[in-house]
Parts: sequence; C-alpha cells; structure tokens
Amino acid sequence: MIKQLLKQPQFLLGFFIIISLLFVSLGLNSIYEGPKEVKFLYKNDGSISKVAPFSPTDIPPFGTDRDGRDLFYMILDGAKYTLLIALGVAFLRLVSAVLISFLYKGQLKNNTFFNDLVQSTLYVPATIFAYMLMIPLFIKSTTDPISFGKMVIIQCIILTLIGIPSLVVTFSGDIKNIMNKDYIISTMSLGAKKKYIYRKHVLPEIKPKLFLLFAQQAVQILILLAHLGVLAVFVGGSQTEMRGDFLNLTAENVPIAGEWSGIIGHSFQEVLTAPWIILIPLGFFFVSIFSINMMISGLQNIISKNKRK
Amino acid sequence: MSAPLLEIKDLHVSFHEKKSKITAVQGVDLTIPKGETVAVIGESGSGKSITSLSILGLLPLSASIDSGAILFKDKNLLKVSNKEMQYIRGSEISMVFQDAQASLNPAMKVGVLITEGLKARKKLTRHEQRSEALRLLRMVGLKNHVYDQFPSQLSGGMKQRVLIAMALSGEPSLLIADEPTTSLDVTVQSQILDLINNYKIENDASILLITHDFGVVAEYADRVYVMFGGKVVEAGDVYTLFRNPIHPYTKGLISSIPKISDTEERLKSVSDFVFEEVGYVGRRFAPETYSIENKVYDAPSELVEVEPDHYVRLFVEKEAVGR
Repeated sequence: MIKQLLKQPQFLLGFFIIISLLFVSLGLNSIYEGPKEVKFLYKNDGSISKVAPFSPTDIPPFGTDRDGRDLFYMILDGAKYTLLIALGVAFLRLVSAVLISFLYKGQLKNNTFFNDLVQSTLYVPATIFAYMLMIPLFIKSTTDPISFGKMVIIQCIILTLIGIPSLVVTFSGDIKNIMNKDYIISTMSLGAKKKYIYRKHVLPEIKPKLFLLFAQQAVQILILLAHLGVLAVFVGGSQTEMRGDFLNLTAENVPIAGEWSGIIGHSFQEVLTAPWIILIPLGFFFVSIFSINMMISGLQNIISKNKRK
Repeated sequence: MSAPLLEIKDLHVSFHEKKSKITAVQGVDLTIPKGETVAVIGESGSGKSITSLSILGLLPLSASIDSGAILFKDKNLLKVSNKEMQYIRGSEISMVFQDAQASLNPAMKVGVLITEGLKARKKLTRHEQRSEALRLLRMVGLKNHVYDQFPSQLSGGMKQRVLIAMALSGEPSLLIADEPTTSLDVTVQSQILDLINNYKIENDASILLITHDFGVVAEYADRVYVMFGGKVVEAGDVYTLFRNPIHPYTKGLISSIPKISDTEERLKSVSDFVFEEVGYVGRRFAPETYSIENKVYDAPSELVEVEPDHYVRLFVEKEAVGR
C-alpha cells in the first residue's frame, strides 16, 4: 500500500505540504531567532507613522499582531504545536478505539445502550464538549498553576476521549463483520489464537480504513482547535498579562504556546480592525485541512482501486 | 463397530435473537467410531453444520449449547478450557468447509495460509514450515508453485485441495468435511472425496461427512445419520439404510437420486413423494408426518431401534398425531 501511495500525486502533494510545515517549524528556532517585535513604524523625520498591528503590505509577508510580533514567524513556529497535536490526538483516538473494539470483540456494535449514547453525542458539537471539559482546567490553573506539559497532556487526553466513542462504533461494526467471515472460522478451526487472528487477518483488512480515518480525525481536530481558539481556550493554557497604560490597565489572557488557534483566540477582538491576524492562521488551517484532504482522496483512490481488483 | 472416537449425547443448540429463541438442534445423539466415515445427511437448515460447529466450539455468537455432551477421547469438549480447545482444533479435530472461495483469506498467499496452522502447533523454522507446506501441497495433488499463489489464482478444485491441506496439516484424528464437494464438478468431487478417504485409511482417522448427497454417502460412508428439523430421524449403517429405509424423509432423499432409466422430464424432490400416514408398527413418524395438515412437530418423539443398529424417529404416543 505504501508503494501505491507513493504513486498517488494527490497524496504526495498533501503529504509534502504537511511534512514541510512540520520540518520548517521544528527546525526554525535552531536556525533563526525570529524578528524583533516592531511596535512602531517611523517616518524619515523620526516621527511615528504607524502603530502595530501592521498589515501585510506594511510588513510582508503576513504583517504583525498588535504586539508587533511577526505573523509569518508565529505561524511557522506554531505549526509544530497545531499539527503535532492534531496528528497525535488522531493517532491516540484510533489506537484507543481499535483496542477497545478488539477488547469487546466487536460486540459493542450490538449494545443498544452504547449505540444510543454515541448517537446522542453526535448531535452535540464536539467543541462544546471540549470547552466544557477544558474550562475547569483553566479555572483550576488560576489558583493552582498547572505546568505547560501537564496542561497539554490533559488537553490532549480530553481531545482524544471526545472522539473515541464514535470510532469504537465504527470499528466494532467492521471487526464484527470480519470476524463473521468464513475464512476467520476456517482459521480458528486450525487452532489459531485470537491474537493471531486480529494481527494477521483483521488488522490488515481494516488498515486502509485506519489510514483514512486517521486523516479524517486529524482534520476534525484541526477544526476543533480553530473553534476552541475562537472561544479563547488555548492548548497549553494561557498566562495573564497586564496590558494598556496606567490610565486603562486591563488583564489579558495570552496563550503560552504559539499554536494557531491561540493566535486566533488572542486577537479575535481585532477581526474587524486587523482582519489579517485572524485570516492568516485560518488560511493555514485551511491549507493543512486541504493537504490532509488531498491525502485522503489519494488513499480513497487506492482503496477503490484495490476493491476493483 | 469399533470404539467410539467422538460421541455426541443429547445435544441441544439454539439461536437467540433479542428475546426470541430458535432451536436449531434438538437432542442429537451421534457416534463416530475410530477409523470410520460417518455421514450426516439432510436438507439445508436441518442442523448438520451447526452440529459440526458445536464439536469445534465455533458456533456463532448468537448461538448457544443448551444441554448435552460432546465426548472426544472420553473428554467432554463442552467443558474443556479455551486453551485446550484451541489445541484440539487443528491437531485433533479439523474441518474442511463447504465454500473454499470464502474459507481462504483472499489477501494471503497459499503458503501463508497453510503455515498458519503449523505455526499454531509446532515450533518450526521458516525453512521447515515451507518444506512441510510443500509436502502437504504435494499430498493433496498440487504443485510447488501454488505455495506462492493467491487463492484467486486457483480453480475451485484447487482451492478445496488447499483447504484440505490446511486441515490435514495437524494430522487430526477426526476430520469434519462440511459438504466439501458441493460447489465442485463431478470429476473433481470424486478426486476430493478420494483424497479425504485416503487420508482416513492411511492414518486410521475418522471422518464426519456432512452432505445432502446420498450418492456420496453410498460411496464413502460406513454409517449414516439422517437429520431433519434439527433432529436425527433415522440412523444406521449404510447398507441397512439403503436396503431398508424406513422413515419417509429418508425414503424421499434416496428416491430423489436421479436414475439413468428415469424417463420423466422433471427430477423428483423429497416433497414429491407420498409419505405414509400409517407410520411404523402403529406409531407415526416424527417430527412431521407431511401427510396431515396439523403439524405435530413438538410432540414428544424418540429414536426407536427397529432392527439391530437401525434407528427411526417415531412419536412417543400414537395419539400425538392429528391433535
């Protein structure tokens, strides 16, 4: 299958974009410290001409936020958090769902209570679940600080748990269908162990679907992260900083990680005055989702080609 | 009759769908002597395959064994641990399934399929596994190159041979052949059945042959059990049963074998035959008489020994019919 994937231009292009973003982001800090914050632009006579945020035409390619931080650098730096969280959580969701489905031998598909429970959760937006589960963390962290690493791990667990039930229903159905196939019974009649059957017969059969669902889950998590950003729920938590002057001093929550949804949430009030601060990270969400979707369609091409064989 | 290798005693199997219960096998008693071929014959849905799957503990999850015992080498298979059952499967009892196409994983090469049974039982090096698999392929009349082929590259008969090679890899003392020749043409049918028969003779093994073809029974079986509606309706050795079939269902099955002398345009089926309402020695045939409108399927019935080692199912009471 990997050989087939390497012959799929759609998959390769999507894969190239995601991997490039990740590599640049991971290596960025070691080769470049990043531009300094630019709060003011001056005229030739030394007087101030403009105050941050600067538009992409003032400071190419993407302008700055209202603290004068270069958006291009922020986007590249934040890519590693956003993409690794999306891919990592998608992976954890799949692994957990497959293990649970194997553990229950695909029988959860027959459990009416479980199915009804899952169906009911499908109609409630995942963002609301994530928001409700993450807000207590932020409240707790104001009185009892939680470290950055611990916060990221807990948030990733929450993001993982939200997606598991529907995946368990999907996999349970698949595993049940495969386990009822004649060749599985034939293999069992030869004395094969359950573990062997799962490893050699069931897993290879659901493998193409695993790839497909991994990509779909990554897209879902990216969308979820963008939504959470708008609701000012930042992955990695936030720290309170005092902003303004002595006449108008206000406390503001600033995301600790440079993750894309943090950029959106942090500057959301500037959606009308400096729309590029929101549109540019949103654009990168779009590019990432588009790339993963290209990978998905490449995968789908292979799956349908193999089915025709 | 030699010593029994496997004995099924009063086996009851049912299927459960939500709150409803459907009984598939009702009080089946069956004995497979060592070194003999026992045929179970009956129409689709008569409980033949469910009986054989019960032996291996491979019933579908919706089915359960309600009561009875399956004694194999004096061990009740219904009470052994999962681990023990896993060992028995393949190395003591193997099964050849009806649909070779569906019984072979299409994504695995023949070599992998054959060696997976070997791996489960013996610690062999990769080279030894290959040599053993090639020996098994040759034993079932296939050439070495089949080892590296996928099932889709083989004909129906070749697939069935691969399935037999897989089943024989553990040299079982009991081979269950569940309609092994149903989807094959007549010449291949006899080759496959000869293969199974040769294994029986060479290894003093026993065969449980499940079929709906009395021609096959006549040629290969030593003893016959006729099943209808989850019950054994007639049992006896093959000669007795062909010489003197008593139950109307058995008569119907035997008479539906086409004869070259028949001049009628349409082949006969079981239901074309008129069944006796008079019954046998004053008792009606169970579980159904066919000839009356009121079905008395569930009325108590028993296998009655009508002559030495020849049993026929009859209603317990004469009044049971016509209620």
